[in-house]
Amino acid sequence: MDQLLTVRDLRIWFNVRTGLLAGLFGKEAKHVRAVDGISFDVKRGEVFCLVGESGCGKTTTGKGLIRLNEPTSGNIFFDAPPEEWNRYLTMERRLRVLQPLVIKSPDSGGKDSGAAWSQIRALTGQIAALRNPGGGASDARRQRIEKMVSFLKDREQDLGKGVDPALVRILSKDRRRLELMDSQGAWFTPRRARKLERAGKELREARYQAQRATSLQARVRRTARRVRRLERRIERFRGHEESGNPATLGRVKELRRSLEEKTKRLTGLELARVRAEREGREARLRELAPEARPDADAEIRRLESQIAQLRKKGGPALEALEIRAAMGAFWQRYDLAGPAAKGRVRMRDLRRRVQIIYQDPYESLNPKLSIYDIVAEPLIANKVTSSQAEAQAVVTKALEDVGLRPANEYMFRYPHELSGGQRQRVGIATALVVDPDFIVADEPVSMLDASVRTEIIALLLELKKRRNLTYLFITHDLGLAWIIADRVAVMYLGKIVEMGSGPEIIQNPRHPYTKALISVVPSPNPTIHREKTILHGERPNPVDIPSGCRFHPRCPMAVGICGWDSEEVRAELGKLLAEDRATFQEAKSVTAVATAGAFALTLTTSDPGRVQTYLRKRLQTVALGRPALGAIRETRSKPGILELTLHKPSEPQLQQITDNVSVACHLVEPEVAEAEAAQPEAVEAAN
Amino acid sequence: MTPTALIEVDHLKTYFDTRSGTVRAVDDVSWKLEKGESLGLAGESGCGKTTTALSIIRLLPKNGRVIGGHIQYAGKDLATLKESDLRKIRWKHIAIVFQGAMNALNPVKRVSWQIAEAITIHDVVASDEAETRVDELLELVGINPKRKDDYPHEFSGGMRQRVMIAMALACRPKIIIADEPVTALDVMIQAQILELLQRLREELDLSMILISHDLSVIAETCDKVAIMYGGKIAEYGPAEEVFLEPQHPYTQGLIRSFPDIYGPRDLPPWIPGQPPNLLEPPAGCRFHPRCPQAFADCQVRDPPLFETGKDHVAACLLRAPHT
Repeated sequence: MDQLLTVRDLRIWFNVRTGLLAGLFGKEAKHVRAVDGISFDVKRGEVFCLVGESGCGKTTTGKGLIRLNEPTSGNIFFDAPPEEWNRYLTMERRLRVLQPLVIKSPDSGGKDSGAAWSQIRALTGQIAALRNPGGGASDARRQRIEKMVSFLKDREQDLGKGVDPALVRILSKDRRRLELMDSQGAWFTPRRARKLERAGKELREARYQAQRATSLQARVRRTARRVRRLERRIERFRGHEESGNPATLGRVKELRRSLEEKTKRLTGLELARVRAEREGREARLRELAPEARPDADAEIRRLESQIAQLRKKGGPALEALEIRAAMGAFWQRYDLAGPAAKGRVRMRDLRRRVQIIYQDPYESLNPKLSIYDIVAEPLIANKVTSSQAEAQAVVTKALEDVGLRPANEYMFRYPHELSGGQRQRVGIATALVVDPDFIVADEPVSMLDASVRTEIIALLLELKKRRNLTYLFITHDLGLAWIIADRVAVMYLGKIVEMGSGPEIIQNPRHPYTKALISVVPSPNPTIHREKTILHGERPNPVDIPSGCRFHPRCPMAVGICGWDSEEVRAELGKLLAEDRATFQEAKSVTAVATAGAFALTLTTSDPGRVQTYLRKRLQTVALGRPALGAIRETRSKPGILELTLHKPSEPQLQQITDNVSVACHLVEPEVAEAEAAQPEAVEAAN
Repeated sequence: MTPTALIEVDHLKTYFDTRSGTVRAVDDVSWKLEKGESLGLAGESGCGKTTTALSIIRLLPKNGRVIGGHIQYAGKDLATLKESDLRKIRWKHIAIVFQGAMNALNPVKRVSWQIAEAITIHDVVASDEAETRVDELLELVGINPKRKDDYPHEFSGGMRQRVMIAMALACRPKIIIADEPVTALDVMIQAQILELLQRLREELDLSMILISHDLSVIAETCDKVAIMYGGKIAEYGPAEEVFLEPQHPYTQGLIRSFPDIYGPRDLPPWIPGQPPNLLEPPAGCRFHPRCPQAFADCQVRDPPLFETGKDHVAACLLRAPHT
């Protein structure tokens, strides 16, 4: 299975508004780090679940993928062909090898290699020009002129035959006038004929409305009145018809003659102009004609050897530059997060292939539009269909696909007339109507009654099979993820903490957060009793993300290395000292605990040496219940004070634990083989 | 039937008058709650769970009225009690945690003011005493009293729900009705709130009526459960028994339709169709149009509650004793 979507290190940050004064005084701008560097890939035809609490960034991610949120950095590769993708990966690997060499190379500023790179580019251009004489920039120009010449030739022919579109357009008014007078009578100007036509159309619509009104038993009289009025108007128009009148026949003849004269005159003029222009262009083309060089092959060889030499001299820095340029070209084509995707055309194309189903069917449907209008809107916005009839056919199919059968019965209703489940079906139809490959389903069933949920899920899965869809499913309901997900990524505060095969993660969670989350999922079976791990407190504010592992303040298994900062340690140490005041002389001698930077503390005490030994001993005994204290790495006594240094925080990275599970936690080690997995998990405690 | 029941709802009927007719939202519902017990009211939306609860403390909308039945509480019938007498019971004896914590608080008043209001309206207390009670209550539900002067928007969803619970506890009630207390909350917050309710029940010796459409929440917290369908009780009995051996086809279908992470990894079956329109409920058993086991008799006979075990009843003709 190849991947349809690959997300690399995606970040979506939102600016926090700072006041003018704060801005003027140079206060640092803050960001809500809603999505903070996540990577995953979604394979073609799978259901990929993003789970987590509200505010963990799952919806932001989903919206970022279809660019309803602007990604701050990172890549979103969509539908890159496997061979190109492999080439890209190879380049990336090579670049990683090159990186340290580039830094070490004497030319780390990149001046020489930059110059060499531009030289190589120039040489490559020359080679291309030699291979294809007259190529390059002037080639494009010549092609343009050739195209123009052939167009002018076509026009000349058309003019000769009297079918030139421009001329036809100019004369169409007269021709139509003539036609109308001939067929319907002198009274009918094009304008009046148009009025008649429009009245006919209105009558048809009014008759339909009248019929519908009778069946709905509403506004019957009003619609009937309208039908009668339109019928009378058409009657009046018809009264003017008089095609056989001899007086009219004379006028028709006269009109026809003048039209013929006009045509001849205009054709002559236009033909002369076109011919002159064509001749001018042809002359220019002759000037531009390339001259083939007899010694091209030798020249190419010479240039190639020159390039090879430059490459040899350039070393890794130059190679890195070349690779980056090639990668840039790849991004331009497949990266949805890059600036290239911002273009209108690209975006339209994307929206046709990637769609979203929103969470709340009670609020995501416009109450003022009929179901038909709601479902047809993406068709119109994306210019998928060209005619009303076609749009209607597509909408009908979409509605019937989502189980709103017969579609005619639902098409002209309004959202308030439907139940929650039916509304969500409309939401799904709206996403499906443009025939996408990839659907972001943002909690599609969380607002629905529990008994309707399964029905909608079954529908989504059936549509997936029938239409070959791929889903990114966003949900906070692990029970749901358990049933539908091929793969699951658990998010916490903008990061993926655990990712892998769905059943594996739910049956055998490894990350403490996933464990807690799964332990609290209620079960309808009352005989299942299990240890619930209820995390206390709420998730931290994504503006101030905790240092180290962002889960450590709420983690039931946290240890010293998880990234406690001095503020947290100070609070915990303060508590310990207060408790020990009665029993330990040393605790009493500490007069103040202050932070010294983010990861160091100073204790003011009269007897640093003894406090140091007391602390060391004490920390060993209490560290288990108070993980924050485990973060103290070193104590150094100085006169009057005791300096404490904390473990340097490091954010755990997502690492492969088994074949199909990755976890981001300092406490989870890769399970290398079956035999070793039997051993108790190596928990690396602090100190 | 033991006479010791704390509150007993007996053949309660609550109807709504609407322009298109009378909606029989609660139609002949009976259950009882013992002291210290927790009762779960479950069912799809629109089956009359909330209406039953609101009938008890008579907070129905204007067009709703209790037209029959009794609600026995402490020797009084709440269904016929005068409004002035009911006021003495409302909140002091029976309090409710309203549905939708996100929107149930007044956005322009401070949280402390809103809790104090609940106290001063129902009790004669000095304002400073009310103030200390607010602190106690917030402490009780696990919110730092320092934050009492915040506005609701400064609280997260879970904390707002805690405030709602504190408000319900303001006058030390004996019974607390929790109307969908954890719907629209995340699983972790849901677990926190349920744990809080459980703890309060033990600490304050409360009885609780928990209304939820999520059967798994009820399975985990309640002693007894009443499954409602179309304004009627479909099944009523001890929670464990109802969930393990459901007797009514509706209960069976409902329980089966829940995904269970400890169960098989298949898409659960669901009950097709929609709950009945209570303007003109189907004749006979209200569930028969959707029932997989329906037979001819179901279309004409409205099943009474048949005994299927100790304190366990189900309204289904399949459970009728053979005569």
